[in-house]
Amino acid sequence: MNPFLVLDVSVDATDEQVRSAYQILLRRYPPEHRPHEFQIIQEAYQATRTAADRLQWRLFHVQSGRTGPLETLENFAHLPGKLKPPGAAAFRSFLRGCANATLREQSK
Amino acid sequence: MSDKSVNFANDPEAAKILIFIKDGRWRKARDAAKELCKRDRARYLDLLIQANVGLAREMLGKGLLKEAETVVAHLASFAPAETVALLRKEMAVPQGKRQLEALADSGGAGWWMAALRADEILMQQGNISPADQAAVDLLVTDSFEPDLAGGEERVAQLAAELKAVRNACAATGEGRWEEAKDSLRTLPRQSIFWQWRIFLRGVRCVFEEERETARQCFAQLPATGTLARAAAALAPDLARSTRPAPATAKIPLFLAATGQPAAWAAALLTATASWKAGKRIQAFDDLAAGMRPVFPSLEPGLPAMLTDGILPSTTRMSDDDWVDSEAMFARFGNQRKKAESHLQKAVLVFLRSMCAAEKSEMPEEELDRCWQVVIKLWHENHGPDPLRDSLAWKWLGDELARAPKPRFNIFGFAQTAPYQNAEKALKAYENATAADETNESAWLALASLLIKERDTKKSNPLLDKLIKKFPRNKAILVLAGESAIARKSHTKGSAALRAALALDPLDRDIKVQLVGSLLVRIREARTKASASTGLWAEIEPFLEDSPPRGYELLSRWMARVRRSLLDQDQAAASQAMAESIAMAPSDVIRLFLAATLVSVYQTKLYSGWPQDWKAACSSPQHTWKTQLAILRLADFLSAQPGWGVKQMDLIRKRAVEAVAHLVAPHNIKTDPTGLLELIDELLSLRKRTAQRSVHVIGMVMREIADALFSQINPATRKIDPRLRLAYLIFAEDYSKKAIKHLDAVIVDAETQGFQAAAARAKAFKKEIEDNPGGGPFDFLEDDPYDEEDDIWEDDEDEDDDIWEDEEDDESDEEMPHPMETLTEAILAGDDATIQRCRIALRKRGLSDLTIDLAIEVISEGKKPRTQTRKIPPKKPPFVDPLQENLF
Repeated sequence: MNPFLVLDVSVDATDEQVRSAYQILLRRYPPEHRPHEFQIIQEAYQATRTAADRLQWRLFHVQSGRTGPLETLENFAHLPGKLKPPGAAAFRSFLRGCANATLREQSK
Repeated sequence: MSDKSVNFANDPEAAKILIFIKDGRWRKARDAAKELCKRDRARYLDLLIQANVGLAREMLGKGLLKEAETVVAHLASFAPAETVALLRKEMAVPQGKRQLEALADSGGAGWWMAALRADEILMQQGNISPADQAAVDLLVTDSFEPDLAGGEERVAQLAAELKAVRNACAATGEGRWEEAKDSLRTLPRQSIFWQWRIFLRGVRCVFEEERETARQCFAQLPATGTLARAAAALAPDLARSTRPAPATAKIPLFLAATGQPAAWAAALLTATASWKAGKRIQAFDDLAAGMRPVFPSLEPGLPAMLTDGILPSTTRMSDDDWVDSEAMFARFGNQRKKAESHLQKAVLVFLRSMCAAEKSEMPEEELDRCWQVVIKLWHENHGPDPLRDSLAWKWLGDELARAPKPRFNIFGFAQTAPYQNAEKALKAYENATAADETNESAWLALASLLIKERDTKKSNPLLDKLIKKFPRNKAILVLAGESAIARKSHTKGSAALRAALALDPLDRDIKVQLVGSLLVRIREARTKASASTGLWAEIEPFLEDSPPRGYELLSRWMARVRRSLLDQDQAAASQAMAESIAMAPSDVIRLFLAATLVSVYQTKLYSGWPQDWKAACSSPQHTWKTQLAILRLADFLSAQPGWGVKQMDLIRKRAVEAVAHLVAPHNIKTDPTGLLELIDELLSLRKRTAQRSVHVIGMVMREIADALFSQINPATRKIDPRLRLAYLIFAEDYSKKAIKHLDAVIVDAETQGFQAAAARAKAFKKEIEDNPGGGPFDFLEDDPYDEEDDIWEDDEDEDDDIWEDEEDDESDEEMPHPMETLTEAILAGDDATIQRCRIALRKRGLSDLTIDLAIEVISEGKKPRTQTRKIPPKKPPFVDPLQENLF
């Protein structure tokens, strides 16, 4: 999990910006209610706390396994707080795609 | 089909036919239309065609193919050719597919018809077919507007509901939650769109972080439907669906929902198709072509995630990944000559992750070369950054400074490879410190490697410089202290360690280093016959009454024992002895420590030690905890640096012997928890220790087993479940009967509040179930008197061994049936034969205790009394002249 994306900070963010992003997410995902998200946020903060940490991650992180483009996009979209309302047209188009797929599947 | 019904708005007869058509009453519609056609064929022909088409499809739906063929043949005489052709096409496909394909092709009007039909069915308390439900879902996402002129109230109602749902969808898509709620507020529960209301509420809850409500909403949706499919894509952890949403639907949605450019959708779709087809390099190329110049990327964002995900350089590489990786490596290598910026970037991202992932697999020289390219490319692409360069060089140094991997010869034997990378590693560390002089970890690594390489000319001044440069770096101070102490510069080393301790006063590791250093100085002072009172006083502040395991060197009572042995001041030594007696957890443990340390310090035990030891051993107050403490103490002593393998084994052997002497069968029932702890400790020790000590541990375990087997019946529920568990562990019984006994033990232990014992019994039961026919330990199979591994074989000072069994060197002649011979010898009163039988039985692995019991049973014909066990004569611990450097 890319910690910069989790915290939604840039690579040249300062320690203070990282801390602030972390605190905002903590308020939104308290550990008692959202332990899974809290764990992800905590790990992301640990990996980006100082300038050296941030550089270490960028230099030496290794992906745990290969993922296809669609799976990666889904992982990206499901990072805490990443998914926003997509807009009426995109939402309708998505639902239409799902309905068509259902109908196609039933006719097989 | 054309929709000309608008022409009949003011025609009641035609409207009546339209109602028939809407209701699916095709025959009535056809008959009525036929009548009207007689009046005005051109005006009403379309109604007749619609009715006949409907009738034909109804027949097809019912499987009446011949009847449908008749209708179509009749229809061919007046209907347009394309209508007839479509019907014939429908007749050619299997029945199940026919209705759905017709529905899919029918467009908005067809879906509206399906919606009307579904509404009708729902009104009659029927179930809507999945096909009709899919048509209703398609209708919601379509722009078709139903005609309401002259329609019924119910039709108008349905159209209003459809409009409301569409409004709510649009509002939800744009995050206008209140508007979405308002739109659906009046939707009746009987509506065919009711599921949409639930779904849209769930979607709103997903975006508004009301996860539990979202989960409840999505749980109400049919698992195979459109809406469950959509919900699972939006919130995979909250919704259930048997089928995923298609990539063509998900990719544009996720791009839009995460604010990414919609233009990437095509590249992502193509790459996904390539990936699914197993063409992984093609997928990389698809993304590179469609997302240039942002892909590949190292900057945080979707392109970087895609880069990481698609590259073969990961921690778990399959064979396919390796093939991909080699192909990409070769191609990048060739293309790099073009020096195009995106290729440079691709090489950078690929090499970086390749080096990071394969650091332990790549040859060092390859890693060195590739990583230097990474540093150079990063510098060229992202500009200078001292911290980044320093970290990168330090990482390379760490990788190169690792111990070389063993190489295997042609016979498959590992051979220690020569250490060749120290120079390169030193160079990397020097580059790291040059790039960023404040990188303390790089300096520390450099100094550590110089010490490891024994380059004192460089390491000593460097450490002095680092202490001045980073006076608050504990790791540097500790390294400097350890290095100085290793060079026997105790004053300098102690000063550095004390400075480190001042930074972290609770660090016990530093205290242990300091106490160790002081003990070495005390022993030096003793050799030179100089006073050591001051040094003992220096040790005092670091001592604790009950230090945790692993820090026994800080134990106050042990320090007193040491002082009693080392202090040349007799008064101080006596005082220390008196204090150690008062402070030690038990006399046996204290005497054991004293005897062990004597061998290390090359001093002599005081003359009364054997008597004290005998008295201490015969004390009735020993518990299993005493034995456990001795074993743990032995474990600590044998882990001290400077101790050889032989000496470690010896310490363990002595400890186990001491424990064996303390095993008191008549006390087997006291402190069952302590007994279980001791068993676990013995098992653990047995795994860690050397072969020769294993036999000794096996002997102790036999002693305990003998006592247990003679006194405990595992089937008796009145006996403490912990004792029954101990019995079962020793019995090595992996049968179903043992599992039955264990079940009873678990129940009884839980009932009586012995939770730890219950957990241990469960673990043991699982072990039995996982290894049917196996055994937890094979001590009963070990032959402690096997000449190959004779535990006494390497004892150089057997003559001094106070625990030596005087019968050990006796005859070892063969005796095929020693127990039978023993019986006969006892009955005949032949003492010499009894003695020979005893030796033969011992060789077969029986302990003295077991043999004594056997003799007692045979000679007296009574139930054995375990109290008669003989305590073997004791001997003082031997003094090993090799133990020079300890403590």
